[in-house]
Amino acid sequence: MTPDLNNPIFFALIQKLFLIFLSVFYFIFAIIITKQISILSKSIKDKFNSILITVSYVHLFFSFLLIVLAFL
Amino acid sequence: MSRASNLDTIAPDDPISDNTSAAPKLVTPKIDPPKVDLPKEDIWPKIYDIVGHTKSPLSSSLIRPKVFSFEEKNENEEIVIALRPHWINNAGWFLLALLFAFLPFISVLIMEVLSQVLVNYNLVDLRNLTADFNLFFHPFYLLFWYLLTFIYAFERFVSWYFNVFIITTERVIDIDFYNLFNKKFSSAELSMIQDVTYSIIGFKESFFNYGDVLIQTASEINEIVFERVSNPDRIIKVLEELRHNNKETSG
Repeated sequence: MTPDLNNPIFFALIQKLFLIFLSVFYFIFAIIITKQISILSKSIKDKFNSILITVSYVHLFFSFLLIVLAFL
Repeated sequence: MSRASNLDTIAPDDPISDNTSAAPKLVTPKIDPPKVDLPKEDIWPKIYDIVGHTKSPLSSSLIRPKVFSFEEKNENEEIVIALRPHWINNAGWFLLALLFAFLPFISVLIMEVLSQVLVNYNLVDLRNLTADFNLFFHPFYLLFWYLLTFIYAFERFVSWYFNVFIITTERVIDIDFYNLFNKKFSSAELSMIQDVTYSIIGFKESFFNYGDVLIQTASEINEIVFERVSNPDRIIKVLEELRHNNKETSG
């Protein structure tokens, strides 16, 4: 069975899958960033380390929100 | 006759004993604890005279910081200066991030104005195109755009923040984070420093008084470069002062 290329639902489905893939990929990237900031903060200790770690976790939360939005 | 029994021939390092008949005692050398090359207390006023005091915790030069530390720091080591590249190096990415943040609104404004102008002059009707363009204001695209903008600015800030050059009472250290995934640590003892030079090249560098400090060493790492640090002439003076002080303390 070949997909009907003129069907708008098919394109919508492809678009949806692409957005989900993109958001999941970005979420993995955000996890790595958060982990990396924690490692760097152990390497160099300064006043703003806690702020940077907090910001990286906020970024992680929003990247998770991106996955939720991709499903809507 | 042993030399110790004859005071005329005694050598200054011979042990002196009243009992000449007794066998010479073995003198075990006294082992002193290893010297720690801490600077004398009067080094700090000199350093403050050269580089002044830290004005802000986010300053690119932290003088004798109390909070700042690094993983490889020795117990008796004290940080004299922690340097980051001059803050003006952040201006480029900051302005670009600001432009990215306002770009969706600026582009909509341009499209609206352009559409109105073209319709008024009966040229092209862009109203449908504008409607399609507004699709990009779907929450997903908007959030994705701002996350990308944010991560660009965050990565640049973190690279600046963790890219530090440290002068301690024992050594000079260069910690480089080229991006979030690459780290390089290099250090050289103060006593191994052979030559220190600095260069300020360019209009921006001359205007804001920042440049590179090149430290040539006799250690495994031939040279350490403090890149784009503010007041490189003062950094050299501090290094000279520390080297001089170190020689006095250890010598």
